[in-house]
Amino acid sequence: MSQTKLEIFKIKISENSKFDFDKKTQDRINDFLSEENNVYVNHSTSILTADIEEYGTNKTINKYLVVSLIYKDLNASEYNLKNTSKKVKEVVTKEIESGKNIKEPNIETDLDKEIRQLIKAISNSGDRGKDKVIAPKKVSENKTT
Amino acid sequence: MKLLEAEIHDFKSVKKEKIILNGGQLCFVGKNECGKSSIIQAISHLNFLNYELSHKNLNKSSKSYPKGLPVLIGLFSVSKESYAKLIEILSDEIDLIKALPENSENSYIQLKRWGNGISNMSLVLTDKVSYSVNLSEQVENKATFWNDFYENIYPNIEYFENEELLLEPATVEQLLSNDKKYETFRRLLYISGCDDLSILDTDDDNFISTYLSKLEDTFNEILKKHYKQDESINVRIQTIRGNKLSLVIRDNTKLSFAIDERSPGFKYYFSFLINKLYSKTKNGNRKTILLLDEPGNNLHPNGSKDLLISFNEIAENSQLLYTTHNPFLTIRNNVDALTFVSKSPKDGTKINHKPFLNKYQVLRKELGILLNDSFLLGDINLVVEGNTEKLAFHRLFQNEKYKKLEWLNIYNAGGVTNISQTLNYLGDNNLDLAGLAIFDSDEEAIKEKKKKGYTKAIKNKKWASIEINDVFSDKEERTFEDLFPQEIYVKAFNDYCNSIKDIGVFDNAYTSFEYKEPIKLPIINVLEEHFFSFISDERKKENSITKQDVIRNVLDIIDEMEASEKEHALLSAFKLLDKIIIAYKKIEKHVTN
Repeated sequence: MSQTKLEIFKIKISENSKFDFDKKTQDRINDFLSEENNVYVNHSTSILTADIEEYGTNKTINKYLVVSLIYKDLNASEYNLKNTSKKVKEVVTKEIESGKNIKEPNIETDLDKEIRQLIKAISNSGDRGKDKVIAPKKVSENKTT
Repeated sequence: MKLLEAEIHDFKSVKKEKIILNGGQLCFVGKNECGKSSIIQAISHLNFLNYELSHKNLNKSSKSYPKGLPVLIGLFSVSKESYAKLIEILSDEIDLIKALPENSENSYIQLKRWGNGISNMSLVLTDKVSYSVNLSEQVENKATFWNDFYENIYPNIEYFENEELLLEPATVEQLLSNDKKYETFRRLLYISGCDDLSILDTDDDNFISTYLSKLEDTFNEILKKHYKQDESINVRIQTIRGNKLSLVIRDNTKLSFAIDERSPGFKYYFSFLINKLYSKTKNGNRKTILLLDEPGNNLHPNGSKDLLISFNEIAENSQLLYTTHNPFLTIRNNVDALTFVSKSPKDGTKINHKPFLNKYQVLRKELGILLNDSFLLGDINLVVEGNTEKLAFHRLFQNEKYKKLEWLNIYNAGGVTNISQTLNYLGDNNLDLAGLAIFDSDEEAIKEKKKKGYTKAIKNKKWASIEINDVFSDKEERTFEDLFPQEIYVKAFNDYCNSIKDIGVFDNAYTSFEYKEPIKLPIINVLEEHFFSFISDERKKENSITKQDVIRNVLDIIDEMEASEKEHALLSAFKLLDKIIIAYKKIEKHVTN
């Protein structure tokens, strides 16, 4: 199962309130977002301020822009995308982003019927060959990523 | 892996249908808007990484409309090599590997897809006898598994609409885009050694010229190996006014033609060849399933004929599914590969897997070959007793010697007792066409020849009749089947019986007919007796030998023979064709147009 995590980036704001987007932070965000096992979910921003005294008056100045990125970490999950092709990366990333897990429709094909018979025959014959059959698991109703 | 069956649920006009592939090719025939294209498009979604399922494609009468998605199921056979490869990619899944046999030659894979992404699919591996594993649920690292499975084992499923497959001249910009129209050109460059098209995106003309010349050399070397029809063929990749890349082809006529100046048939064939070579280079041993929606729609009948030949070649190593409403592009020689698609308001798109039943009537009607439609009834018609003769003549006319007969319209009378009526209809009483009737040399034929329709028609110089015994020196009773060597016919008959023994035709276990000595003529009577000896009396009426299947086996066996043996096996059949040519020439003189 993929884990939902949070990563915080702090961007310095200069005194004239312009973002001072230094190359280092920019690279960090880029690297983070292009990491194959990080799938963007959402983000929020807030500004860190500081109260200072200037010429005898108190004033609030913007110090940092804080960007919080919420993402799914696929590293320790079954969706680990290390060493997979571009196509698989695209498909899995899209799947995680959309969060769409659909319940398997109840369609029994001719092969499914044959497998059902096979499982029945093997279980009737006792333990012999039991390890050769791994019956399909029941699909849970609320499977989530 | 080879596709055996595809099941479609709720895709566009298809509510629920199953497509069965008996070989390398499947041709879908039907009217416009009947859902042929939907079937092909639906199957393309078995390529789970390339084609995304969309709500827009959901059948409107589906219970899950409008938010659901269609469901696709593919059943594949797994070759010994693919199985070994599968075991290799599962080697890290220790528990799973324990449940699987080390080797298997008879395993199947069923892929069900009900959504996008790798969680909305299932993959079951089984041999139906000793084991069954749901791989999609059991593998621990899903992304890696699906990646390796897709890259190394799963067939490469490709879908092309209309003329998309044709090689078109293209600018570098167009080659760098995702436009599928230029895919064949990209592939040509790939097999020639250019695996990064951005190399071409430069203003350095000198580099472009030398680079293209290098690609040309590689491509011509490959072409020499694979384009056996004309080894003198030479291709140049040229830039047109420094902008578009195009191909110039020089063949044994020593004349050069731009690809657009060549016939559509050649363009198609050439484009196929490139795609075939690309598939081989890119996919190694992976099979390709090519899905074509109305290919060669604008081809001349001769071009269509060429295209059918290239389809046959492709089908030797890959699988090909295509739609057409062009009568010249329908498969003639393999009735199992023809599928008829129709649509009704109540049931949506339905597939008829046996359109050849009832004398192909349904197909002839849908393709516009109506009896009253004299446009496609030839001026000179070859009237035959049934499907067996029709199928056999189609194939025999493919022999170089008899190619001139290829476009003779073969009219199936639907039984010997309908021949006089057919002659009456096609003859001067109605359509005033000309033709030849081919009869067996048996009692039924003698009776038929006494009928008024026949006697009247044959008086006219535009009509003639030939019987099987015309090529033999005695007066034995013979049917069409006796034109072929008995030993071959018996083998073909046994192959046929063995192929149907599992579908409940026989009540007793079938044992092959043993050919020890010459069989009393007509051979079919003796074999029919053998066939019915395995069927109980009460079920005899329900069953009969499908003689066209046997004759197809006969011709397949003969096709595999060495040239001299082949000539010998077809000696009597060729004598009959010679008689047809002589009669044809006589009749031709009396046909006004």
